[in-house]
Amino acid sequence: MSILVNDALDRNLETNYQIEIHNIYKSFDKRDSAVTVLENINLNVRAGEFISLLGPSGCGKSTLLKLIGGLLDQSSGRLEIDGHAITGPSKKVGFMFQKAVLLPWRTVQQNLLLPIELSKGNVEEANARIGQLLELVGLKGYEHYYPKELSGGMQQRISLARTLMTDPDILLLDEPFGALDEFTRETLNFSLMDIAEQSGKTVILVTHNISEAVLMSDKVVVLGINPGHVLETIDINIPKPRTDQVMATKQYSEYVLHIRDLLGVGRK
Amino acid sequence: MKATLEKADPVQSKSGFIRKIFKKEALLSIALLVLLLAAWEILSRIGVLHPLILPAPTVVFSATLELLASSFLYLHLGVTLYETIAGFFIGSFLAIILGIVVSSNPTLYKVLNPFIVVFQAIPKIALAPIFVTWFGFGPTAKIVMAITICFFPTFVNTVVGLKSVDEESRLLFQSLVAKKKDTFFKLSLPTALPFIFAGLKSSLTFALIGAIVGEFVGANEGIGMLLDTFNFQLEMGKVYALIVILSIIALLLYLLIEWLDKKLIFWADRDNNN
Repeated sequence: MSILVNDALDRNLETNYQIEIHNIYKSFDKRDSAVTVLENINLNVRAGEFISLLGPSGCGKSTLLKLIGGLLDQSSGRLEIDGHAITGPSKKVGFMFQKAVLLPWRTVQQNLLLPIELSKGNVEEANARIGQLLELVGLKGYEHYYPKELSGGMQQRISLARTLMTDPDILLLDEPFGALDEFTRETLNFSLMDIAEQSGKTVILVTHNISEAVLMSDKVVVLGINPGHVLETIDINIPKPRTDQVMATKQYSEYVLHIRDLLGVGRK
Repeated sequence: MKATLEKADPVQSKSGFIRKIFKKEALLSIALLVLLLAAWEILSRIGVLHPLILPAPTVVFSATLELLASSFLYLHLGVTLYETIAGFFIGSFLAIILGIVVSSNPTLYKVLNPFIVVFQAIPKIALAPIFVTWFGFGPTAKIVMAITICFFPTFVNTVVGLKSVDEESRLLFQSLVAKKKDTFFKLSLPTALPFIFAGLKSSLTFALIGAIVGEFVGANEGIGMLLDTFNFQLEMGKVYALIVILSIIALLLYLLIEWLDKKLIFWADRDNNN
């Protein structure tokens, strides 16, 4: 009896979280045995927070993102958005992948309309939105270009704009700029921070770049491998908006060094 | 004005470079052709090549002109083209539809796969006498032959093309809660289209082969029948002339479908094909 009461109490306290991840396990069937990729994952996210899932390859960070996005089902545990269990992909959530996955036979404009077409939305309203979004990602006037006429960085900008087309509350970004060169990546990271801060959207970013995670996030979830588990969830208490100057602060380098320690990278 | 961010046009100068090389190579190809024809002509005139084995190019050329001036050529040509095109359209249609059906269901694919492999292994030309027995000396037997022989390239390419949709695109459509129908028409089918067209190109040439082989086995009209007749009459100039005409027609059909391919699949990256 008392357990039930406690549980109800917990739920009441948690009501101000947008995303609740409680005791999640995930395993995949491989041949005869099941391989556990995520073990006992707990994470609560408030609306508007910028979260990074950070860890080495194989820590299950992409799997966790797909669970939140409803693209996979957890083996056990509770996963909720706005108090409702996640049962599949939702319109509250926008996904962005490492590859831009633009359809090569569609122009930029037609690519941006894809999410609207698929959800039978209002195309005319959406068309008006396209101009604004292209301006937001710095590609005003590129409506009628085909993807192959754009560089990798430009394609990812379009991909970001497409994610924003349906105006989702939560952005799930799976190493979105991971395939780009360092300079383009940094530029896009700052664009992303601007967009997140201006729109107040929740962002969950999968990355394996420590400094990027610290610079951008309110909270960094550091994951370990075999199986994927949370090593530590670190609140980054650096005021926003953050600029290049942040990287010169002692506070910033302490966070970075602490995470390096956690992950066991570098020479001591 | 729009080149404010990253630029993406080193492709332009590269293709210009390729065009230059291509021009030089084309000239060399033509030179080689002229050389070969001249050698052939000389060898025929000095009697090294027997006219029944290989008539001189000039003989073939005049026979070609003679045939082109005759009205019966077009009658037979019409029949063969009808068989080829009918066979091509029916065969390709069946191939694409069956390719889609088989790809849509993994279980069905596994069940049908052994049959497909066996049918593919059959030398289709060996079936020609059977088709004549079944359908007689008219065009039907040749159309069926053309269908049989042109089916597989398009079928196999349709299946491969539909399988080539990458994982992240599937995830994108899944995350956008796309309906099955939308995923098929807006993602899978356009992705498969370049593959399907590559299959269609082979199929078209194959359909012509099917029609001709069918006519060899038993027909009272068509280019295949005409070839057989001229060969029997030892009219070697005309035999070679027919081969020239057939090759030109095959080439024209191929260019037509290639043009269509470039028009329809404008987004394909063709730089690697050259």
